[in-house]
Parts: sequence; C-alpha cells; structure tokens
Amino acid sequence: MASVTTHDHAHDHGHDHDHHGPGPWTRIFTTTNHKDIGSMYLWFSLLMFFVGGAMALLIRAELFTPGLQVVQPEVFNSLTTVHALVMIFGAVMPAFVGFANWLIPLQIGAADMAFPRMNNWSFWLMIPATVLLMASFFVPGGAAASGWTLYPPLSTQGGIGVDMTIIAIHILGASSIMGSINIITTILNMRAPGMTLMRMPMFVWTWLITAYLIIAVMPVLAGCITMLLTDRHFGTAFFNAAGGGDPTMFMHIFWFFGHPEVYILILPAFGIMSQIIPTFSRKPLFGYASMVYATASIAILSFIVWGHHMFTVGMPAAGQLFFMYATMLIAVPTGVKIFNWIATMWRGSITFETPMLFAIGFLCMFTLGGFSGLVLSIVPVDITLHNTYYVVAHFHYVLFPGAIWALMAGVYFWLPKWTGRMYNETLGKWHFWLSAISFNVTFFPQHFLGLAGMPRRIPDYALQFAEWNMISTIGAFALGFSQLLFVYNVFSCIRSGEKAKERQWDSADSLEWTHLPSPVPYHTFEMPPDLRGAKAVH
Amino acid sequence: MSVVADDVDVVTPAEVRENNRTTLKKLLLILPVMLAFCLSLVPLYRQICEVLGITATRAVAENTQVDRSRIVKVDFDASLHGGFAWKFVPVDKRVEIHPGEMVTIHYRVTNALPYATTGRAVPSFAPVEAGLFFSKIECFCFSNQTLQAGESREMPVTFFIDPKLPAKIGSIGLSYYFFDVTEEMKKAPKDPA
Amino acid sequence: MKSINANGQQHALAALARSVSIGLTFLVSPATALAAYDVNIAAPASPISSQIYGLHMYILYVCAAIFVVVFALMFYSIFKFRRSNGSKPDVNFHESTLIEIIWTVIPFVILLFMAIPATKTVLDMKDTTNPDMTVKVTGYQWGWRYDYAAEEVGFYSSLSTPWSQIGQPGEKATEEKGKDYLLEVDNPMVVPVGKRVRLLVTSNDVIHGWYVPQLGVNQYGIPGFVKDVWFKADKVGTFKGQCSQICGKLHGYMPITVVVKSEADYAKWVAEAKARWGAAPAAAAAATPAAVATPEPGKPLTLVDLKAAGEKVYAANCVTCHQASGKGMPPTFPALSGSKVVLGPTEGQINILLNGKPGTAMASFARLSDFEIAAVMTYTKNSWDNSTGKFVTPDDIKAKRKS
Repeated sequence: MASVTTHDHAHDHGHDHDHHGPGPWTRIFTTTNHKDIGSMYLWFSLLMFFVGGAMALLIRAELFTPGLQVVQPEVFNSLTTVHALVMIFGAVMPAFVGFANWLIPLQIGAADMAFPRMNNWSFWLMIPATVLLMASFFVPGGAAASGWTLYPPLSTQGGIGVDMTIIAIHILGASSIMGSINIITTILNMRAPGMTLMRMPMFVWTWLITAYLIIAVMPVLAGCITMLLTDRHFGTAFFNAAGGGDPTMFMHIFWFFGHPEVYILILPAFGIMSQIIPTFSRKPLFGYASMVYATASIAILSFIVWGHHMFTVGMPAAGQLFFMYATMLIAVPTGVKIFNWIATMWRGSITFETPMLFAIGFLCMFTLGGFSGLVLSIVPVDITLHNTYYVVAHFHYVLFPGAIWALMAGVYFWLPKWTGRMYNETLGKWHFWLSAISFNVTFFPQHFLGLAGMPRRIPDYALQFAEWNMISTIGAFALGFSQLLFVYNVFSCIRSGEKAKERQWDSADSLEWTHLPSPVPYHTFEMPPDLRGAKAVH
Repeated sequence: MSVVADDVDVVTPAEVRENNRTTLKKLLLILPVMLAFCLSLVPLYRQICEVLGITATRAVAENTQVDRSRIVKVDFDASLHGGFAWKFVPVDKRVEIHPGEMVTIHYRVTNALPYATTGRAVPSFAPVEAGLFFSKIECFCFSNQTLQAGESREMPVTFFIDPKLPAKIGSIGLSYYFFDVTEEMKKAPKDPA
Repeated sequence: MKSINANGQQHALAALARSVSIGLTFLVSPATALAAYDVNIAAPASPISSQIYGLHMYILYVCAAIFVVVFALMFYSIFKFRRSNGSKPDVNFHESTLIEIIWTVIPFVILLFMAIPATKTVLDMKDTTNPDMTVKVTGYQWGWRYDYAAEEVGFYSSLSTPWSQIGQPGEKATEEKGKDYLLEVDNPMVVPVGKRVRLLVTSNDVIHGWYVPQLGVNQYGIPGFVKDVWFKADKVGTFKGQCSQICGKLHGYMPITVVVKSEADYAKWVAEAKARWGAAPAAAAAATPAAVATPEPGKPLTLVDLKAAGEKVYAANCVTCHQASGKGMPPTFPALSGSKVVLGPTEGQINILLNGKPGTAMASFARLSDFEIAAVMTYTKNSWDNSTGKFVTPDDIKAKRKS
C-alpha cells in the first residue's frame, strides 16, 4: 500500500474501504475516520454553544431591568435548566471529545481510534438526545424547569418534558461512556513504539484521566435519574419521604456525579493549556511529571468533595468539616498547575499569538475563579453565599474562560494543522480582547450581586440589584455577539486562509507538528512512527 | 486486503474469527458472574448493615444507666405533608428528661375528612446527629394508619435517650410528618410493611 | 397609561445612566463605587453573621495577597520574557523538585490558616445548646408559614408586592415599583432581640431555602424532614431575605422578612398575633387554611350552602392568584369570571381542580375534600359575572376521583 500522505483529506478515495466512493451524505453517516468524527463533534458543539448562548441571552434580557418583560417565570426556569444542560452535555463535553478524536491518535502515533464504529455511534447518539432535549420546550408542561440538578420533588412535579430530559441525559451519558472507553483503549493500546506513558503530551494524559472520571461517574448519574424516573412513574419512593426515601439522597448521588463532572469539563482544558503555553514560551512544560500527578490527584479528590454543594441541607458539623477540608485541599494541586504554567513562561521567549492570548486569559481568569472557589469552600461563608449570584459568577469564571477559552485557544492553535490554512490573526486578537472585556463586564458584577444576597434562578429581583444586573446584561450581549467573530474567523480560515506551514508554531513538538504535513492527510500513521530513542516530546 | 508491511504480523481471517470467538466466550462467561453479583447485592447489603450495626431494628433492651446529672429537653412537633386534611398534634409538647430514662408521650391524630383515609408517618430529628442517640421502643412511624371518617386516635411514642448523647446537644426536636398514602394503598392493597 | 409607560421608560433610562456611571466610577475610583453600592455582604445582625462577615473579609484579604503575588509573577514573566524583548528561552529550566515542594507546601500552610477560624465558626453555628424559643418554618409553593410552638401562633407569610408593579411579558407594569419591591411580605416573622431562636425548617411540597443573610441563616426546607438551625439577632430592625432554592414558577416571588423587636414590643406582638391567628393550632392549620365544616350526612345540599362554604375555600386557596374579583391576573392567572372552563361542563373544571393544569401555575387541589371542591366550584359558577345557577355535589367529585 502506497503512502497516502499526499492525498487531500476531503477527496481521499485511495483507500481500500473507500473504493465505493461514498457521497458526502453517506460519508457523514457512515464515517469511521477519527478526523471526520472529530470535526463533526466540533461543529456540533459549536452549534450547541450558540443554542445555549441564545438561552443565556434570553435569561440576561429578562434580567436587564426588574419586573417581568421577556418570558414567563416558568419559561425562565426552563431556560436556566436547559442552558446548563446544553452547555455541559451539548457544547463543552462534545467539544473536548472532538479534540480527543482529532488529536489523540495523532499525538500518540496511532492510525485511528481503537473502536471506529463505536466512535461513529457515540457521535450519532448525541443527535436524537439533543433533539429530545430541545423538543421538550414544545410539549405540554414545557421543558424541565427545576434547574439542571433536577432536584426532586420539584422535578417529580414536572410534565413529560422532564422525562424527555431524563432520556436525553441517559443517551448523552451512554455516548460519553462509549467515547471514554474508546479513548482509554486507544491511549493504552495504540501508542507508537517508544511513546511511553510518561512521554505522552499533556493533552493525552488529561484525557486519559478524564475518560476514567467519565466512566466512573456517568453510570452514577444514569442510576440517579433512573431512580427519578421510577419515582415519577412506577411508584417507587427513593426520594419521597412518604415511602421511606429522602430527597437529600438524590443530592448526594447527583453531586457524587456532579463534582467529578466539573473536572471532566476542566481537565482536558488543562491539557490544551499545557500544549499551548510551552509552545509559545518556546520551552518545555515545567514539571511535566508533577503536572501528571496534580491532574490525577485533582481527579481523585473530586470524588470526596461532593458535599460542598449541600452545606445548607442540614448536614452534621462533622460532614461539613470533612467536605470543607477536602475541598480546600483541591486548591493545592490546582495551585501546582498554575505555578507550573507560570514557571513554563519564566525565562521563556514569549510571543502573543491568539492561542497564547487565550491561554494567558485562561490563567488569569481561572485563577480568579479558583479564589472565589476557595471563598465558597469555607462552610460559613458558603452558607451565606449558597445559591446566590456569587456561585453563578464563580462557576462561570472557571467554565467560560476555563473550558470555553481553552477550547477556542485549541481551535486557533490546531486550525492550521487541521485545515492547512491560517486564521486571521488580527481578527483572533479582536475576538480575544472583546471576549475578555465583555466576559468580565458580565460576570464580575455578579460577585457583588451574590454578596448582596441576590438568589440565582430568579426572573425578577429587588431594586437594589438593578444596576449590576443591567451592567451584566450589557456585558452578556457583547460577549455573545463577540463570539460571532470566532465563527467568521473559522469559516474564512477554511475557505480562504493563507497556507499554513507544516510546523506553523516553531516550537510545537507533538507528533502532529513534527511528523505530519498541514493539512493532515485523511489517513495518518498507518505505520506507527518509531520513537524509540527520540527525545522526549511534551 | 489488509495493510501488510514487513514488521507487521499477518493475521489471517481464520485467526481473526478464532480470536473473536475466544473473546465472545470470555464475555459470555462474565455475564452470569455479573448477574450473580448484582443479585447477591441485596443479601450482601443486609449482611453489611447487620455487621456494622446500621439497621433500623436496633437492640432494644440495652442496659443503660440513667444519667441524673443532665437534663435534655425534647420538643415534639407534628406536620402534615402537602395539605393532607388530617389534624395531627402532639398531646405532650415538651418533656425534660434524664438521658437513659424511659418515657412515653402521645400524639393525637384526627381524620377530618368525611371518608376513610390512610396516612403514614416519617420521623425526623433536629439536630440530625441526635437521631443516633434516640432509641424508640414504640412508635407509629412507617406503618400505615387508616382512620375512618371523623375518627380520632392517640398514638404513643416510647423512647429513651442514650446517655452517650454529646454534651453540646441540650435540646432535641422530634418531628413526625404524616403523608397521605390513601391512593397508594388503593393501588397496592398488600402493604409490604 | 401613557404617562406611566413614559415613567417606566424614564426609569429604565435613569437606571441605564446610573449603571454606566457606576461602571465608570468603578474603573476610575473603586473606593467611591464600593461605598455607594452593594458590593459586599450586608451588615451582619447576629453573632454568627458577624463571624461570617469577618471570615469572608479575612479569606478575601488572603486571596488578594496571593492574587498580588501570583499575578505579579505572571505579568513579570510576560513582560520580561517576551521574544520582542529579546528574551532567549532557557530550555533547561523545566524541572526543579525544590521549587515544586515549596509551592506545594506554602499553599497547604495558607490553607491551614484559613481552615482554623472556619472550623471554629462551623462549630459555633452547630452549637445546639438550649434555645430560648422555637419557630417552625414551613416552605410552600410559594410562601412561608411560621408556627410559634410555645405561643401557639401560626400564620402564612407571602409576597405583598402587587402584580401591577411586576408586569407581564408584553404588558408593562402599571404601577411604579416600590422601595421594597419583591422583598415585602404581608405578615413578617417577628422575633425578640437577643434571644436564641431555633428554627425547625421544613417544607410542604418541594425543597425551599430559608435565607436571611444578615442573620447568617440559609437552610433548605426538605419535605418530610425537619432541619434545625438557629440565630440570635443582636439588634432591633427588619431583615430581608428570599427563598434560595429553586422551587418552581414563583421561586423569585417568595421573600422573607424578619422583624426583630424589643422584648416588650415582641410581647405586644404576641398578644396581637394570638388574637388574630391563635385559634388555629399549628399542625392542623397546615392542612387547609380555612377548614370548612363538612355537612351533616343525609341533609340535602343547597346552592346557597355550598356557595357560602365555597367562598371560604376560595378565600383560603384561590384568591391570591385568581383574585377576589375573579378577574385573575391574565395571562399567568386567568380570570374565572366569564371563564369557559368555569361556565362549561362540570367535568372539565373538576379535572383541572383535581389534577392541576400542567405547564401553568395551576396546581392540583386534590388535597381538598370532595365537599370543599364541590363548594368552591359552586361558588365560582355563581359569583361575579357567572350565574349558572348550577351546583356541584361532593358525589360528583368522588365519582371523578375514582375514575
């Protein structure tokens, strides 16, 4: 078989299994190529990012001034619920799986994922799930309106929309589990000779750990919402005190899933950061081994901190103290990561292309989000801030500049490799600065709102909260519309960007930059590269 | 058909089939093991609870000394869930007892409705930790109570407080919640409890 | 109407201008902005909330110090080690066990210094020595009920801001928003100053959160369980809060007001409250606010009797949404006067009363007795503009319940 490195990826019919030349539509449905599937994940998550964003803007529009102007309160509740579910399960997780699909085989020197057909299926499962979730807005009773945490008994009250949400989450969970099995198998079995575990790029490491987290907690979520479903329809009483159950148990089970989920959303972001920062500092990542250990310990600690979401349920002091100490402890490995990134930049030779700007933005904002997390970990302070806008500000600080900016930085970073073309640098910088400013205008005032006691998930508020809410809404619209620049930049890059070099970023040293042309061909590493004796790549 | 190169082992279709068959056999073997494990969880759970002493039916006749040096206030509270149209009140609102001392108090429940209804009570403690030191000898909780139209009933609760109760707990609230389970009873006439 | 709308617009414009000016002031001089607007936890009014306030400030200062150090290092490296500055990468500087140990141990020590005062406050909050009084707090969709066990007083407390100030999508508020918009209640909870008040927090339907930041209390009320929490107000005054846990449609509209009075004033209030609400013993009243006497068996029911009984049921259960005038507050709360459902077949109306109407605020009222439902239906069919002359019997309801 001849080498295929010269084939253009979109028109590659040179392969055995492509002999019949499937049309573009057949290819979309039947493709088992990790690059195709990775792209589909990324496009899908971009779409869902805007769907979830539109909901966020509706929420902010309602909160522009006191009083009810835009939506009815129950629709508002549905919007906050589905916004969260769409962003978590529809935007951030699929986007990271998209990156995993694209990059893991390239970075470990494998030809494809371990289970290509399952890979295809885990993507296509997401479509009916999302349709189900979105369709729940149009059924009698409306979409689930109990917050994404679906606490019973409120969620037992809802209509068929809640059942649709439960089924949708089930399917999305199954998709994530399949994706994770695929990723773990690929990483553990398909590394090129010489690519030892401790030589893998950080992105691969963080995904390996994340995949284990997903496999550990997604079944817990599935069990949890199944119990909810049987409580709703089949007369069980898991969460109903009348039958000896307890709504508090739902919270425990849910957050046993929910807290590791937070790290599922952020660990791969750490991985992307650990690729970008060394590249633009032109230095190897500082403390590679300690980064791996820090990631693993964050993942392990994430299983014993769930109680910090429930300090106000009436937990005994011993429980509160345990969860407080465990939560505070997470600050240590997270701090190690931040310090390692700063040390990577130290004595480097830094340039500020768009991916690096987003990475530095990530560092600053994520650190701030970490501080508010530390404040919230203190039980007495949490009691006064629980379920207020302070919490909203906190998790948007860690998830927007954390997960979303990492994803955007990653897209800018790898676009030249994926498409063979460069994005518009000026536009990218505009995108960064507009996002950075409007993000802070949106979410910084929410700290004040929370401290002043404004509860979250309310469609209307007292007059003392009016000013900050108005500022926040203005910021939110600016933030939302700045993201259109990103879409434009990606499209124009694909259509008419300048040709990218094979090694667009001079000191990027993972295999996709050192061993493959830009754009990467449709099939890569059919012969695994022999890396034995090569110098470490991370 | 397959990609063949010098340093890649050639795997024939027959070998692939053989491999797949082995995998299938292994998987089929795992299946009953998993099933058995799932089913064994129920007795295992019971065993573990018994061994660790986390059962609802704790040893009743613990030989406890009455601690005359302390007085604990116990407040009794009654609630009805979701507008359940019964009347439910503690006859004794508060007792002050020594830890270890056995007492009986009463609640009164009345069915104000013109037809028979069934309720089930669930206890809860404030603070939660107090529940660990609260031993109920007699109680009406978790069992169904059917009251005819207009019927009124006094229900006793006999309990003592473990002298090991931490010193910082000076006051305990015992609350019962009555739930309307009339509909549930109609659906399942044989109550497992 | 027109002038009010103009007012509303002016109000919005003024708020916008204010927002912009705060934003600018904040950029120019944070201190002024901080002084003028709510940017911190409200002034504490209990020993625990004072501790919380102090703890928050302490953590904030520690974080600010770490922030300065971390960001200084970060920005120093960004400026110093720019390539445009001629910086050459020192590729060998990528590992140092000593540094790694230092920046693992230092944060750990800092955390210890945070954990110690926090632990003390946690233990103080959980101090369960004898309270001076106990109030049971029950969350409802959407309001609160306070039962004073010893005083034998119990009452409901719900939002008193009229819907005419709130407005509807596509329908402007017809009244200027008041000073305590959404934070005012009809019957506030009243407690004496300087007494340890134990709250037994619970809920009648879904999870609610009783949250009054100035008293340092935020406690979920969980249906079927009673959770205890306490506070001691150390000054006389009025303290506001809101439900902190999403509890359905009107979650944003169930505020909490606690009025702390001097001992003498509190005694006066108790006397008044007993006169007003004392008759209803706590738990019994939780069932149906105005329990209607059921008729003697065998006696034939008349429209007049049913309507009279129905008026009470209506006042207790329906009036908040559908209003005394029967005109409701459309579109959220439709009018019953002239309503097709009320004037139409009995079946449909019974169905809505028993099962609620999914997707709307109309909950199931199956908890009411057959007689009560029959009575309130008869009332609605024969009040305001409705004069059907029809009445509904408890048997009709019973039949429907069974089917």
